Amino acid sequence: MRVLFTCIGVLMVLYTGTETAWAQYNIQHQPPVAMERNGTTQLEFSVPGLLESDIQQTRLFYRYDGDFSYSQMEVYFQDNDLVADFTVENSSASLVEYYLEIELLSGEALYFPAILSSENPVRVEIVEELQQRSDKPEMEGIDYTILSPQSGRGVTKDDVLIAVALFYDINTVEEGQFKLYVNGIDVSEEMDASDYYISYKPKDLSSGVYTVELVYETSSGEFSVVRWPFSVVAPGAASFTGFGENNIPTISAELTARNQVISGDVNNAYTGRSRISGKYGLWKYSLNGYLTSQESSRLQPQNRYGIDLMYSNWFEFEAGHVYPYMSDFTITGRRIQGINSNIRTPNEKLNVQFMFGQLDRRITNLYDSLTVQEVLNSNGDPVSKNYILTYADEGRGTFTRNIIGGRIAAGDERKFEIGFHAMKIEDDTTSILNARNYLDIINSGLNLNSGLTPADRDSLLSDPSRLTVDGGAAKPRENVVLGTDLKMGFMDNTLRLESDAALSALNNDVYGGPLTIERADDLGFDITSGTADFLDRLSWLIVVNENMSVLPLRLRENENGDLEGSLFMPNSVFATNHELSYRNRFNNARLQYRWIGPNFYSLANSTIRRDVAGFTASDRLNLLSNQLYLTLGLEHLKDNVSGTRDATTKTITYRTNASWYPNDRSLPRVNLGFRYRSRDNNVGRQNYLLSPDLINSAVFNVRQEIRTISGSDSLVTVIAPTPRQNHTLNVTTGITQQFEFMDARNDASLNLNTLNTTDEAFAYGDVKSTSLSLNLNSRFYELPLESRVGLTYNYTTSGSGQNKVRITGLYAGGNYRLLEDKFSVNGRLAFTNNKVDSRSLDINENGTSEDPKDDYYEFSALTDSDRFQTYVIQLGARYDFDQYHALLFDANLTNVSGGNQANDRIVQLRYLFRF
Amino acid sequence: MVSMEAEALQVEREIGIVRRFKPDVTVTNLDKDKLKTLDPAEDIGERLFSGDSLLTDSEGFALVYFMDKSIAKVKPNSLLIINGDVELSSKVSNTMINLQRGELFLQVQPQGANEFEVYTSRSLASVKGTDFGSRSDGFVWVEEGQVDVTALNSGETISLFDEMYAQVDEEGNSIDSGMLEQAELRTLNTGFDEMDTDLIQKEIILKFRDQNGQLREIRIDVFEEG
Repeated sequence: MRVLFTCIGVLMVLYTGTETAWAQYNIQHQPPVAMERNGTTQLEFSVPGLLESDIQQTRLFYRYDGDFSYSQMEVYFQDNDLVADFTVENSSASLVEYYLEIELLSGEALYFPAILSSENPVRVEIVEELQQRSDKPEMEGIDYTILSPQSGRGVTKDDVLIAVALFYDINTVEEGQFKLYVNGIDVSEEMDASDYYISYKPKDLSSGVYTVELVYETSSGEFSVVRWPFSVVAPGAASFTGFGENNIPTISAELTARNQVISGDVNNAYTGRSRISGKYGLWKYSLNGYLTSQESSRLQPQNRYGIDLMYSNWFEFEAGHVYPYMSDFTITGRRIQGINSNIRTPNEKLNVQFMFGQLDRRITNLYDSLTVQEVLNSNGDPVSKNYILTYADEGRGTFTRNIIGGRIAAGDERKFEIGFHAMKIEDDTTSILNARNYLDIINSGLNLNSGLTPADRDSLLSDPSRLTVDGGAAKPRENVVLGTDLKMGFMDNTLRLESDAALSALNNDVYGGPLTIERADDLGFDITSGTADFLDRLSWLIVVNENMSVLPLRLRENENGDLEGSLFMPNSVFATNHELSYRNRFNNARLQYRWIGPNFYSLANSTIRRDVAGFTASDRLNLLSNQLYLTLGLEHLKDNVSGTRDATTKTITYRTNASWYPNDRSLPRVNLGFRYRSRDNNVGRQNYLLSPDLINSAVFNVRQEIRTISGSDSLVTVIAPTPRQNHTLNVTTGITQQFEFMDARNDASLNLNTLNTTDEAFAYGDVKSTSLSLNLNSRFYELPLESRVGLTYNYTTSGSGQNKVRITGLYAGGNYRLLEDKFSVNGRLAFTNNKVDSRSLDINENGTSEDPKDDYYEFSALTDSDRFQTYVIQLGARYDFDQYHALLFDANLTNVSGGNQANDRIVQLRYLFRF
Repeated sequence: MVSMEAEALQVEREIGIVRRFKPDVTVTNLDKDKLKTLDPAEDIGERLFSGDSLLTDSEGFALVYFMDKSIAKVKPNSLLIINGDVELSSKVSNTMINLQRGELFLQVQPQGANEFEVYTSRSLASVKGTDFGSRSDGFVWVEEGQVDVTALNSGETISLFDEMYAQVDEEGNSIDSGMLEQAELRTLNTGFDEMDTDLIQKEIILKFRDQNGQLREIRIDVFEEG
């Protein structure tokens, strides 16, 4: 027990140690104040000092309206920044949440936001498209028909007639008058109007886009009846009938040569990227490829290739490295190497999806040696031997992980659609040599016997299982997910009901095959031959044995006193999600209920939040003609849904957000959000062995209770569940403002976020974080110059002061164009000042080393302080030979002071070809 | 403009407008002593009320918009009398066109309770949500949708669907109907595009990389005939 307690303490210290790791890099990101639905927003993440060659993979995880899992998309390194072109494709969501994950070649992972990124992602409101919104409140009670020109249509200069028919009950409409505006200019004096018809024939409108707005003016103000755009087109433009069929493919290619010196090591890298796309009739196709000299058989694929073939909306076939989506409970954009295809019937009433490939490719195990360790008794005399097989440095391998899945759906999702899907993932045990005992080594021909004496070999041959694999051999896993989904739309699809339900099975080690009568007997229980036969027949789908995440056997004592296992379906493998939403012009209301068991797993989607049940309700009000968005949200969740834990934690979240997104760009766009979350598992902090001021520092929660032991009441000490009681207040603000200054159009943005977690049950559980970022982009009218300056500041204390990280960053950059824009130079200077103070937690034994129950945590006397600055200088140039060919040069120098680290530098030449 | 005084008045509202025309087109209403030859410089958008007649001469074309967005394309040498009513507070309307002479093509909007009828001396075509043509000699053809054609004298009614025709005989007793070949349909539709509707805006997105290698988009609007 003492060892266990010590291990827990060590783990705590190790945990706090890992907290400092992320401070080596500071990810800078300016979240947008809001994103427009169906619009694409470029999300840029800057990481001073991080080089492309350090990165194995970067992914943006995102979800809508607090969904239970995240979808993912790859993020690309582009001009020294990480860039994701994110498109809001959800037609009804009011909120998007995202976080960035950077996997480094070193195995380290960086996140933005840094602290519990999946729980505290960046939150951005989704707003409707900005065009054609009126800044006036909408008029109720007056209906209309636009007779001319139709919205979005074009008319010639001599043919412009604005005509609207009106329908209203004169008894219910407040007294007033109609006014007509064209591009904001009041033309009411010139319009021809009756009570129910408005027309206006403008004179000499030049070519261009116009906006008409019919307004009803009353004593209480002006109200917008209708607003729509049209275009006046020149006769030449009006006769345009399209470009015709263009079957010439679009081709792009990029060759890069890079020389880099990182930590004194010289490394050259060469990459090639290409893409060909085009269409022929209803067919569309694209091919893409990315080759790098940094491809390594020790990593998952760095080279990428793919083909995408589409025929109208009826057929799509993707092969190569593809990113399929099937359902939130299965796969949501995870990269696989294989195929993904979709077939829809022409009336789109039947949809069939099929995917097949590899989730991971094999990486062979590289073994180092087979060593012999003598086991000594207390006198130091050898009594036995341990035979240990060790891996080479980074020699641990993985199996080929295969995936196959499909979905079939019938119906129209706007009215009624039902779908069924299934996915199976399994590790191919034959894909790598995975030594688990000595016979595996003998049979493989690996020459690892040199350190063994003949006696050692004989000993191992007589009992091959005496071989111990250092850190354990790789374990092949198998996972099945079966699910169904239902989508219904009512009232012209404004009211929607969507339901998903799925069940999963996960086996963490399929070696040994399905459970047999003999194996069950070894484990201490009996199964019938019928049960064993059933498991054997089921093994084509999933191998069921004792390594399941949850064993589908209910053990009961039979009349002989033996444990007997009978098959049952544990509820912890189920997951379900139901969502009712109502959306109209003014409201976006949503009620969601989810229940996800603790043993629901999809190996293709690691972001599913398990062991959670509860509801989320939210309503987003669209006010002032979609210029003001007010969101109210409530979430009530609990864990321990299967009753397998000692205590149940309830999490209640209140959320409110206001976004002002005016049409007038001279006004600032503002976002202000509050989120308050409380967590409580109703377990009180208690430890009668400690004084009240130390109770919240206790290592163990201890209570006394009277129990009847051997017929008499005894006072016993019980280790109680760990209490959990904290509350978090998160405030997010964002302001962007466009303004003219210094003969330039300037876009300034400011984001300020604070997060404050107060832990009521643990003295070292508080978290406080403040982050500020300020950005100014300027585009000069008279100069071919675009400049960008910014400041970031982040101060985070976690563990009630165990870690204090203060990072201040500044950057300035610009792009200057010359030679009629054929040549451009750009530069960027970035600086970050990093201060990291860490204090580990020690365990004070309270003078009783033999009794751990009165131990408590306290700060260690020693504070580790780290101070360093990062300077990054980037210089680049681009020359466009013509519209097809360009040459780019980039140089990057990174200096990290205070760490005795050598400068990193990178020089890169790129050739671009686009046709 | 909207005042309570209006409530007391018997408001007559427009049932359509002459959106485009080629001279000469004349609007008359004998009940109101209305006789107006439309002037292209002044009278685009001329309002039509119940009881108005629209007359095109040998060179004249007219494009009429009704308040439910239905469209009538009128060929030369045609005479039609427009009757109907449009409710003030809702979009419910009834439109009856008496085609006394000539030929017209209609694109009638599909609307719930609205009624739209075209009749000649021998035929009555009752429609909802249809593109169809009608001649004063009792010939009706359907490009898309459904039209119920009635022989006025006998009351015989048949339904026409896509690419069908019906010919009501001179007495208005019987109806001859059948399918149209594509070439015949094209011939029948010839001339009706003379007064075509607005140009439809389409967007072209040009994607390119700027000096920084950043992906940028330019959106260009082009206009095509509807």
